[in-house]
Amino acid sequence: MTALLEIDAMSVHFQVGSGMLRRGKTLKAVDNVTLQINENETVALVGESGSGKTTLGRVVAGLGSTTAGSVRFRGAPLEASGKIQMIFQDPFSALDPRMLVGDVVAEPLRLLGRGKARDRRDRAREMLDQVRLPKDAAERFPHEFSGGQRQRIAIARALVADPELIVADEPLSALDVSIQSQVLNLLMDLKESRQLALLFISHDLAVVHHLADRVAVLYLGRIVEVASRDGLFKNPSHPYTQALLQAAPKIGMRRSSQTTMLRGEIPSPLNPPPGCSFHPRCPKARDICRQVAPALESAPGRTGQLAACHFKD
Amino acid sequence: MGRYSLRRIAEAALVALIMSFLLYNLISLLPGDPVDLMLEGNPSVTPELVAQMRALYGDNQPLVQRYWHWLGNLASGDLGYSSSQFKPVMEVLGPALLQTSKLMIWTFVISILTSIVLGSLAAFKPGGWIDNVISFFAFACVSSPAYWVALLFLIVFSVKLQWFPATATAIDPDMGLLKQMSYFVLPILTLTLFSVGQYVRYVRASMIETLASDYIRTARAKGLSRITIVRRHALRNALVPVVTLMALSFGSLMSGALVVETMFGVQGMGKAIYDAVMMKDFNVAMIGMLFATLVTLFASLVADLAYGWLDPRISLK
Amino acid sequence: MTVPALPTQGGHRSRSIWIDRWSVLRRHRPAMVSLMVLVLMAVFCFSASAYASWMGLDVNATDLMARFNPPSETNLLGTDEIGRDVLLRLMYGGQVSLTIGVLATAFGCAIGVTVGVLAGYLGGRADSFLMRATDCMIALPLVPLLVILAAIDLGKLGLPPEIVQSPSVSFWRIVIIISLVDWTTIARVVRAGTLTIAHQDYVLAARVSGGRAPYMIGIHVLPNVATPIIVAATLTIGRVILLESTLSFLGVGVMPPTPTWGNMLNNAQELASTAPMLAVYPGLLIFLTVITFNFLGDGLRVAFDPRSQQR
Repeated sequence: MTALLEIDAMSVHFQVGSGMLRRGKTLKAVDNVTLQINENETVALVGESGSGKTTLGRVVAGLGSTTAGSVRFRGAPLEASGKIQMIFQDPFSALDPRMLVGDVVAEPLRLLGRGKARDRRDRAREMLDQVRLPKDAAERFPHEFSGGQRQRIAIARALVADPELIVADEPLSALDVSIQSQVLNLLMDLKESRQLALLFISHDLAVVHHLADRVAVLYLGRIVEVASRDGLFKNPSHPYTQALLQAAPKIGMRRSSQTTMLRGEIPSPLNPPPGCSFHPRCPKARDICRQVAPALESAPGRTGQLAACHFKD
Repeated sequence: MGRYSLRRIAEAALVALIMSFLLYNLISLLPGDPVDLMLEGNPSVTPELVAQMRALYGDNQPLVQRYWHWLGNLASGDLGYSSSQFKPVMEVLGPALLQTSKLMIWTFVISILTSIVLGSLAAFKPGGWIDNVISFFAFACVSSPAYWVALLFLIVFSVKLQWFPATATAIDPDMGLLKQMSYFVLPILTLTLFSVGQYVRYVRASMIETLASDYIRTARAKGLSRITIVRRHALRNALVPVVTLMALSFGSLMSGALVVETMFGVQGMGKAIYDAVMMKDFNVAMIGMLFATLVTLFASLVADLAYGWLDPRISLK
Repeated sequence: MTVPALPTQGGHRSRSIWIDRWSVLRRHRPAMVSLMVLVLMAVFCFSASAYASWMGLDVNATDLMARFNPPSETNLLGTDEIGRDVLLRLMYGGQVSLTIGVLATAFGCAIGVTVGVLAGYLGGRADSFLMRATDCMIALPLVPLLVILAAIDLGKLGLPPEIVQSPSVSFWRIVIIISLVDWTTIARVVRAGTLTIAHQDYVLAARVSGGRAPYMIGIHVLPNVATPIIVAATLTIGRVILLESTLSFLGVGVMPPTPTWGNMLNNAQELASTAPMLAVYPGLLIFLTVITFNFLGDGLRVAFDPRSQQR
């Protein structure tokens, strides 16, 4: 498979709280991440809040700059060419309330300077049809649509310029549960028919299981495990992944058979623990974990599955 | 908290300096030669002094240098002479300051009290008839030209009813205190109307918000009477933003003072500045305007600091 | 999988947001009354020349034999201190005051929108600097400052003598100096709106496709900030009219013989004893105009409040 997107040792650091006199602290939102996305592949990015997954997604979409490392698309630096698009979490702030839906969907074409107004409008209507919205939706305003419908409009907008990669930042999290599966299935159908790669950011493991080809787990800005979907869910290597899978509520299971492995709360990214950043909460932590940050290496016996732990399974 | 205050004070000082520079430029643009204007009131003018002044302040000097010299003089206490009254500037502005202060202090006190009462009354039942009357009254006050209201007062109270004297220029220090005060009644009344118009709306809004908050509802549930609630709980919290707003409206109070003083002949700062600009009295105009600006900047600084101090949510930063 | 069709709303084009707002405004009685009063006021003032030719009057004709005449058939409100028809002067004066109000507000809006958009969009140091500057302007005593600005010798600024001596210079001077000092409310409002909008996802989405600052500001920020700007501008017009009339009253605004409501009160104190009604009319008109602008602005604010537009 050809590599579409290559993230190489990328870090994104922010200076927080600096003023006229103070220097402020460094927030390491993303720290030394290396990841590759191939054509037509769905890579899920999983992590809790504060893990840096949104920042990572935004940088890939061209919305932020890197402090170190690089992101390359087909070998070239990122530029706004329409080949990478993004879908956001909140359907209620994703569409300009003053614009007609048709104009909203056609906006990427307008910005990229493609085609004349009439062609753009036709194409927008085509896309709205593909996301299963009625034809006259283009002449309405966003506030006339429900959350799920607005998310479809956002998807139509993301597809209108024929992208090769879409960054989806928790697109289902703000939707009602009954609507989530509709939108999810729509995404999957579109992906099939269009040769689309997907960087799917989520904290919902059930959705990830449904959708992803490969999964990367992020903790405090660092990748702790990368694996194929089956590899991760059946044979998690890193203790954090194991804890996440364990902690996910399973419908129908009684409380007594679920023991919690995760202790404490996620620390602030302003003050990451030294060494392996997971060690304060890890049941396997030893002295070395406090001192040396583990590298991302193959899990024992399973090439292609990488984990950053001194005591990985 | 300390660091925030120091920073604010330093910023305010910087702003004051910049404002003084801008004002100096502005007033230099008044018609006439600045050196002539600055020297005119000086009784002890000598050719050497003129030459010296020209060297320091002449038109051919770069503006920044002129400003710098002038600032230096100011710092050493030399405020210059008034070219329209042939007296040192301090002798002109000192008494003016006194008169304006009398006006402002009375106005401030009366308008704060009145607007607290009226605003709270209006807030008890938003939309009720008391509220509508008070709100309309506030609207009307803010929408009317100060000098016109002053004029109406003059017509009604001075000319027709002969209750109060029309101008304060006739004040004689030998008059009894009451007689002296009677000259101030109309100006204070006019200024108060304006401030009340502005403040009532803020007090009302702030009080409505406070009365709707949860801890007040708890007090009501406990059975406390409305007046007790207002007095003991609501007032303090509702007043926090209002106090700072009042300090910030100092500038408009000074504007109003200029108009009222000119109308009623009160020899205050506002009138002094106006007369000075009309008579091209460079020194008085500069010092007067600078003073007014500094006082308003100071008031807003105090408001800023007080806000940070009174609202614990901010002071913890 | 099919999605149920959207209910049609009687036609393909859905109602524009402005039409919605107009219908809300229509229900707000004080605002609608104000709007009508303002329209009437404008008609009243701008029909001055028509009235003059109809009545056979000349606004500048002085007649020292006909001073302080009481209302009569020709002079509906009587004559002033040098024999001119009062009603006609009020009409012409209204033209000047209203025009200055609108012009100075328009220029002030231009300044305020620029400052607000820059502060909200650029953020950081630029924002704090601009906000400090705005705070300073807000704190300054306006009338004394305007008096000084009005007295400036334009020659010293480098303007040629033809401009300095021309009769319309006092008009334009007032417009410019008032707009230089009264843009702060608009700047604040625009900044607040820009700050919210600049972080909305739809702006980010446009950036992903290559949208840059001018496009964002023109297409996304300004249309969404338009309503607070309109409200602030309406309230500003009232303030500007008050400021202009105060300056004209003090003798530094529009110079006679051009009438404005303010300078008709210039010798007000003498009028107080001799012809009190002459002192009442101009101020009454100012009061009426300003209070209706304020009511209109308040009504607009309520009509445009997004909270009343919950869907």
